[in-house]
Amino acid sequence: MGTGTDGSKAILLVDDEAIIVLALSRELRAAFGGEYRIETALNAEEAFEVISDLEREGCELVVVISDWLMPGMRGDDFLIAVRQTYPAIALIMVTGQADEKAVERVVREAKVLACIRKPWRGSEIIELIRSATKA
Amino acid sequence: MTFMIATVALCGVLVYLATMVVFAHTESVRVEAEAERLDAIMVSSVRSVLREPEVALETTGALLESAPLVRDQILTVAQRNSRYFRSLMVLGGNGVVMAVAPPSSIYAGADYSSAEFMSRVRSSSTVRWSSIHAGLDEGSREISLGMSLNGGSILAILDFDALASRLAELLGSSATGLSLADSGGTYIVHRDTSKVNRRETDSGLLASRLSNPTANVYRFVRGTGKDAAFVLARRIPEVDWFAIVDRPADYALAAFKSSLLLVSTMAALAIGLAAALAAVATRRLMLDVAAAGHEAEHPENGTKATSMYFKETLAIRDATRAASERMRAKDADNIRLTQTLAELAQAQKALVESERLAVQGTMAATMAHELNTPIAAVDSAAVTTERSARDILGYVQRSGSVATAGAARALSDLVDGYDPTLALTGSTRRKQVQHVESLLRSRLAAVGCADHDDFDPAILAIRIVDLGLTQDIEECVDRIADGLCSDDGEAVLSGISAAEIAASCRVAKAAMAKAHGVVSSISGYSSSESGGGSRPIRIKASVEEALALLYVQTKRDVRLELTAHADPWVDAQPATLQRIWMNMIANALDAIGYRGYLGIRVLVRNGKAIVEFEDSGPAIPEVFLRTLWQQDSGVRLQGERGGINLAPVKELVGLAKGEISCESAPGRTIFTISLPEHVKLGVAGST
Repeated sequence: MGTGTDGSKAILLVDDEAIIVLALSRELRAAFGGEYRIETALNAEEAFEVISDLEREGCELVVVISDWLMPGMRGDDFLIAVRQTYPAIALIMVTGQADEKAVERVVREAKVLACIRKPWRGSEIIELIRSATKA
Repeated sequence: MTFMIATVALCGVLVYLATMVVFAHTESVRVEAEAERLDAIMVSSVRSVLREPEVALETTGALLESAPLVRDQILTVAQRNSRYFRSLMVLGGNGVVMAVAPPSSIYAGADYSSAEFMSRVRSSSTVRWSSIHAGLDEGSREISLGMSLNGGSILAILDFDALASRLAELLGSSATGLSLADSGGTYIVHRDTSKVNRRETDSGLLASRLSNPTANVYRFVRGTGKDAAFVLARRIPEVDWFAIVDRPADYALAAFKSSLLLVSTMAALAIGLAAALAAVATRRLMLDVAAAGHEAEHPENGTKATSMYFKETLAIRDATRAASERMRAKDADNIRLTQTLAELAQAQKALVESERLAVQGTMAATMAHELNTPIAAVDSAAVTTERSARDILGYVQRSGSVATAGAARALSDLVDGYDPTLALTGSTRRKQVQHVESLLRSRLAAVGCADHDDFDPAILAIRIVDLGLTQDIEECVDRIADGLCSDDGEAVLSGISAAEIAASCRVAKAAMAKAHGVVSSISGYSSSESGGGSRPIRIKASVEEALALLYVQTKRDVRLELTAHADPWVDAQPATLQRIWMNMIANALDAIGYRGYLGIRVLVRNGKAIVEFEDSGPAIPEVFLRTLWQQDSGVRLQGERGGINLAPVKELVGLAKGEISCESAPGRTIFTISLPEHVKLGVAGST
């Protein structure tokens, strides 16, 4: 996904827990204001739909933050799938419980920036996003 | 009965004896054949040995006729017979020793004077001069053979031990001695005279034996009683010499054969007599028993003198009955003891399990308490914060213009209806945002605020949608837009922030509620009763608690169904049941992998509470089903299928006095747990 034709940029949050996406989206919106559109999805299927919408609208998706353990497609599979289609997007995995093999796999195959454990520290995620988008 | 036993015993003994006779006969034939063979060896061997002294004697006799050749001739003879001759002396008619030999060094000289030698020979009681004579010097154990010739004599001294050894070598271990006798039967010598009854081996007796031309084997008895032994003599007719061979085994066999018939007869008589006595005694006992029985039935006609046998029979019967009673009592005691031990083992297991659960329960209770504290604090703070946010909204509503108040009321309505679990996401949210943004821009344009610098309609639309705007959208957006365009627009923006704070508090409260639910499940798992014993438990609620604890594990592509056809009660430790359900759920999820089906069914069947766990994982091969409950790794015990070790589950089910079984087919494996339904609450509790 290249730079959006409308010049806007977006961050996508994926977690099957609504309270998580609500809390994190408010945190990121508070941090970045109108710099990025914060999109949310409760599962991988919904996330792919959002990605398609953004692509169609010409909005550049710069960061995807996904939970690992979700119904349907698991977070590591989702991020690997995203990486295969969109090599430029920065990927972050957030999880409350992930086995080492899954972490190793997602680092190796999806080249995620980081795997962050819940409960996250907002500043850590914000710093990661800033460094990824700056590059 | 006694007759039969006696008859059978007698037949057995007779068969045994007959077998022994046949065996003995066969053995005697074999021994006879062996004896014949040894005899043949003995004859030829003795003949060859004894021929040499004869040759020697003849040779030495001839030597006397030709003195100059004596030395060489003696040397030749001595060398030929060197194995058996210790010395060979040729005496001249004048008594001069012509030659004295050890065979290896024949010499002539004055070492032996003929006078001295003759004196020695003549002083010997065992040497007599004759045409041919023989004797034994018992001191030196040497055999002397003498021959008188014209005016001179020849005396050969045989080495008896060497000759006997040679004979033993030839005849084997049977040969123990050698006796020599002349054809007249005058002399007899034996190697070991101490063991020979001289009377029996008298030369006269031997001579009489020898007179029988057809007999060539003779038996002599030596010793008496226990010391009796046999000496077998073998005559060598051609040379009239005897070899004595000790063959006691032959005679022992002969004695056995001769005594066998007598022994058999005596044994048969003894057995017959015993059988007859037994028959008589049995008959008498039967009569006594009959009489006693009659007396018992008709005591008025009794003899008042029950026989000794009957008394003993009664005593034995009573003792047997008493012993049987005691045995039965012991058996009952053993059964009770075994049951008690089994119950004790079960109780010990339960105690250990209970203690373990108590420890786990204490830890879980501590953890639950530690979690509940911050949860309560956060929840309280969220409530307080939400109230403060609502206060701000109320202030905006009260203090501003009509438009501001309308906007604040609209925001309050949003907060009132806010439910974090219903928050829009994905494309739906995006569309809603776009719709709200459009409405907002239209309304702002309509009221003359299209180019307001204090806010971005796009961002405002997102914030409003995230406050849960799903109903009366247009009216809500209009009120907010009107308020923003009023003189107190900034107050409305503050009101939006206050509404977001209140919504965040709702999110926090929802998160705390969820955390509290998990903690409550942990509390149930670690309830104080966990270490204290059983209590009535509703199966369905117990399974739901287990699912709550394993909620994270079920977050995968698994269709999970909990169906309660009934809601029975059972008596169990809460933690024990929790562990059973959690293990079964974990096992199913492990077998399913990431995608599949897990069905949990609760029902009542035949007075039992049944919980079935059906999963869509691979089938457990038949061979693994048999060892499914053994202590080992779960995966190995379930074949290629995943799964956990189920041995502890079986133990836990056993502690709850239940049973577990499994049937498995590809894509459909069902574990069935059956527990006794609570007696009073079971039926009433079922729904």
